[in-house]
Amino acid sequence: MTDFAAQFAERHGLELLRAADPAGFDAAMIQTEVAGAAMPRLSDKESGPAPVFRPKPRP
Amino acid sequence: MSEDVAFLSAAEAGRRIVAGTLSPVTLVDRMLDRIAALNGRLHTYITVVAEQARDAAAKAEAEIAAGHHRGPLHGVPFAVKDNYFTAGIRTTAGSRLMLDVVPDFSAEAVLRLQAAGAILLGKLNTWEYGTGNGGVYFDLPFPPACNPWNPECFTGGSSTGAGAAIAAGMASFTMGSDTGGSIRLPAAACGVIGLKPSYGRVSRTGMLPNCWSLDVAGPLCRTTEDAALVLGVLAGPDGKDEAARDLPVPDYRESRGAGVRGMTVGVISDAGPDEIPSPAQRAALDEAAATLAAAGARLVPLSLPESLALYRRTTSIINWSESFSIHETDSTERPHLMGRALRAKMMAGASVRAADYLAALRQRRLLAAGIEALFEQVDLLLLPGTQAVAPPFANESDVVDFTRRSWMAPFSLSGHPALTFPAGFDADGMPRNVQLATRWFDEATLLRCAAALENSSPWPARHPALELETADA
Repeated sequence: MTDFAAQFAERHGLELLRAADPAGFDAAMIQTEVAGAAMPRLSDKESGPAPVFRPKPRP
Repeated sequence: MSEDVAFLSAAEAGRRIVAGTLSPVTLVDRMLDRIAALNGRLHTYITVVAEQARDAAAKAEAEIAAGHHRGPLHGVPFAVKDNYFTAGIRTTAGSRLMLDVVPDFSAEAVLRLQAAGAILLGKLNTWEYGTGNGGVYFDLPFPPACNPWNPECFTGGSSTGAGAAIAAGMASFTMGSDTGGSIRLPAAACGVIGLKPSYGRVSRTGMLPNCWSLDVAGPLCRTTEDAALVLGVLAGPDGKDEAARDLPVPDYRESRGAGVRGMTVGVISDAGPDEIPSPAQRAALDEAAATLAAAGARLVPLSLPESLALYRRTTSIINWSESFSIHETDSTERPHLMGRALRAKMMAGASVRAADYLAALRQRRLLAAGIEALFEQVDLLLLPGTQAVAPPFANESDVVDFTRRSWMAPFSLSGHPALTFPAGFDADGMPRNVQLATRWFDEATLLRCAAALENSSPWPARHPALELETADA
């Protein structure tokens, strides 16, 4: 994970952020990955359409 | 206890001001005296605008004397969390990233309150950009605020100063902001009312964002009448915050008196084996339920449709991601100026996958519908606000748990209006709390029920015993 996190930081211009706390950065990435993986995937039938953009008609 | 005007409710202060028995100049001077005497210990305010406040008080007095009365809040002093832009007054967001920022415009909420005649005293302490994992942050530019009931204890956050200022007689009412509990937690910790209106009830224009999809502006107050008055001033769209809905604004103050007879209240006391309220908090809930039953409400036991953990996780993914988007440039260019809590959030938010964020948004829709569906059975929910009362700073894990294990996430996520109400004290004199929630945009029902609780436990039953550092006037 450490190499991946370091490469991720470099690719996205986050070297300074990671440098402030490399272990914290790596741990945060794991935390995010775990939380995201635990997020249930819902179908349109269960949750309605994915967030939609709704243009407003003129009043 | 001899009366100290600094502890009057905003509504009572307003009544005395218009009746001519209390001068806004006297009231503002008293508040400023208490701020000068206590702020060095409580760290409630970041910026105090004493001269401006005194000028505004004199102007208010002259206006009222000339017959130009703006309303119940005319001449009443208030303060705002330091994430509300205030024209000509620095707005730091509690961050080294913002120490030199002096906006040239004020937030809509500030403008409306000042147009109603309320007098701004200053800017209140906050976690950095409203961000925290529930800890106490000593690496920010300003010391953390302290709980007036026991200055060795936590205030809750992120509107740390907003809760403490009300409890300590350093403002008549305050404005906070709530993303994951940031109005309700400090209100719970400091023994005052914290109202998180429905998402979209109050404009957030000029309020620095923490998370666009979740942020709500709202007041912390001493009484339900105060909350009703302030909400009445704030509610309604401004044409700039697209989330602010154009819906009727009822007379919240008048509708409070309708009582709870005939109302059905869902009592949520059990959220699973990992979410056990402390004995003090359980007692607070039971007593509040008994009060409402005695007032004529019908109580039914209820459960949340999902685990608190799911509401919290969904909120976190949305919050991390949007917050990183807000602070992306500073995360790449100036992370050394951030405190560790904001930096940690940026680290989490930077790697949220789009698919996970969208899954969270879809989950949010389902969870919000599940909360709204409860109101087909009941008119209102009564449940704990926090698992325990505010702990000492020294108990680090308890401090973190005060935030992380609160029962507030369901309504942060769903956008339902929710209110924390002070519910007596524990054996150590720390405030207990309960939480009320109701249908979208039905803040009137929320305040009606809170008023019923208030009838048996009116403000100001008790004030923090704070020794002023200068001679008391």
